[in-house]
Amino acid sequence: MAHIESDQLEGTGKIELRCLECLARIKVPLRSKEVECPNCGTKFLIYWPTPNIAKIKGVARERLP
Amino acid sequence: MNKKIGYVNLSVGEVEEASIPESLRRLYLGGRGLNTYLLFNHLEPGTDPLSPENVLLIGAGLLSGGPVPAGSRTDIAAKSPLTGIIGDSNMGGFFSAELRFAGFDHLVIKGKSEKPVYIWINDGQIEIRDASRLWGRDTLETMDLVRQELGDEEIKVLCIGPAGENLVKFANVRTGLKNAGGRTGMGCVMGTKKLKAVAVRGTGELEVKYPREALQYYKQLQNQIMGSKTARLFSIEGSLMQYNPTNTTGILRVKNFGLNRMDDLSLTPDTFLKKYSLGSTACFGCGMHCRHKWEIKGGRYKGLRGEGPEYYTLMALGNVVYNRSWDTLLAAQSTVDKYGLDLAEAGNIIGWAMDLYNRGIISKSDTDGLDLDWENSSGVLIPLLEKIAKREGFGDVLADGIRSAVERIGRGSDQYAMEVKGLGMVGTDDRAVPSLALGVATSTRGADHLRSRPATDLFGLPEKFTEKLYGFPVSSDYNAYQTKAQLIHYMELLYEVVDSLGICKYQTIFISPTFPQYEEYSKLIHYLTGLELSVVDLRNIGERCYTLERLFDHREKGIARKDDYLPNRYYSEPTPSGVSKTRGKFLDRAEFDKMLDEYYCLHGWDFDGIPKTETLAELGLDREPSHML
Repeated sequence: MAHIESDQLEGTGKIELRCLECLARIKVPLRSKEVECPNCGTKFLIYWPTPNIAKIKGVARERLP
Repeated sequence: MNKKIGYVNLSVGEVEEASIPESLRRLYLGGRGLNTYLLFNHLEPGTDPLSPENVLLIGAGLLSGGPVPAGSRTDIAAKSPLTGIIGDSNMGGFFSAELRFAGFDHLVIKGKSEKPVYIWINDGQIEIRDASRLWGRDTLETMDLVRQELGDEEIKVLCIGPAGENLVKFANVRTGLKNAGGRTGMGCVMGTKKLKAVAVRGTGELEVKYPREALQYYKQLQNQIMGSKTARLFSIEGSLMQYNPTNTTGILRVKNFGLNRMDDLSLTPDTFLKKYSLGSTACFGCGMHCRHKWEIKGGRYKGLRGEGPEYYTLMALGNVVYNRSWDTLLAAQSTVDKYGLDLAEAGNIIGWAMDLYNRGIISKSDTDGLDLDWENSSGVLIPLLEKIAKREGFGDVLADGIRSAVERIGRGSDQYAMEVKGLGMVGTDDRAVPSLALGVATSTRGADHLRSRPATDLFGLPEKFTEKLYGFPVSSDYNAYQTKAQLIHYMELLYEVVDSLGICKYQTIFISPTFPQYEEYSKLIHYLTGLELSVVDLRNIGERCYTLERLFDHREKGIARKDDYLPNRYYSEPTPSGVSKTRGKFLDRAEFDKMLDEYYCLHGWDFDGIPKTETLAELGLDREPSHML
């Protein structure tokens, strides 16, 4: 029941997001407004609450079954 | 630990004090845990929650006001007038710290005053004062007037607004610009007692047993918390940071229960930060300062200012009622703050009423002419909130809560009522996430996520991490049923301890697996109080307090397995949208039942969810009520 060290979860320091569709990691180019998951193809709208933290705003285009 | 309990009898105007024995601290800590003990002991079984015999408890956590991260919470408890079971709400701000500086940890308030009064606590002295000129004032006016009357801007005030005075059953208790003890109608209980406010000012000290070690450890924990990406985001976006991921995933209730994702992205945190935010502030002892300050700079509500909003505000006054206007949402939040209404309950019941209207079950003849079409949400939200607070017309139908409103309206309206044990549902749609669903269904105060929410279950954490975090592996698949009963049980006990210590959940593993939990609390308790409580001891305390809550619920209203389910639609209607893991999902009743079986077993309760005799003996609850205080 120990706490988890922060760097074990926050990855390598590159700007990355988790895809909310397939949970794969997505590398996010700086200042991009949209990004596509390389694993499942879902496109997300992106915003930047800080210059080096990207967040998903919503789905740009869903990959439907 | 040298602070006292104050007993106030409003019927006869008497005040007494008592010390809190260390033996009780070892069993219940403080805050929520000790409040539950006091409620169980002081309330006669079967008491009408609207009667003078209901008991109101106000409690600081064992560590509130001390050198702990976010030790800011105040717990308020009574028998809930909304649900008839345990009423309990928890608020941030500065009140609990000030109460402790004034020499008190808990207040036990009984009886009813003939005229409006407020309680004034000033460095060890408790006085009951006339509140006639405060009655009828909104919460912000009340706080200002109390400070003016007593001549000190540093006084902390906890008060009710007109909703509490009008005995709206989900009236809240407020402190500061924004903090609220929202759920379960504690403001209504204050209103029944003609108790307008509790004001406190303290210049005393908190005794810290090992101050050097306490300060050193406090700095270490602050660095641990503030060094994380989660804390950095929280400092900027506040709790709103949760909105976009949950909306995009498809686990929000929209239009009562019609949709599970808001495709209109008008109400997102980035828009709020750009157009309304004036920066942020914090509660006592918090480095994260997640509380926004805002101003509406143009339009109909130009000049309106406030603090917040929280993630919950966005759900309750946003997607549940299909409001897509930030101006309306902030103005609605200002309305609930001033009138003293629980925004979660208000949003839920208004969303339900709008759902009925849009299905043709009720019409303008029921709603005082208001057009509750989903597209008109911005036009009706604030008028409806005001009607509820004033108990006017259709507002009076809604003011007694959703079960009462269902009875009054009839016409099959119960099918659309989103509630558990009489408390309105949370703003999330948990059909695709069994762990979240179980937590809400079994919460001791009714539909509520804060008893146990394992938000990190959505992170897909590998089992090797969860084994390290919890001591047992949890499936990384948030659609899974297996291992989730264990997870909810673990979180319930942990949050019981957190609420009893007076620590804010936003600085626990609630939102990040790297944040403090049992080991850290064990050390903090030792450094601040000298008490030696191991992790196992803390888990036992959590189990004891939680089981006592369950015992109270069973005693007062026969709460059992039959009450531990979500509304039927959760088990039959598939979600219409979302990502692939949340689209087309509903809860599997048989699997849910298996989770309930396991959950009860973990608690030591029988098949019907009643604590077993041997469990009560193990926890020392067979001696309750013990009347030690």
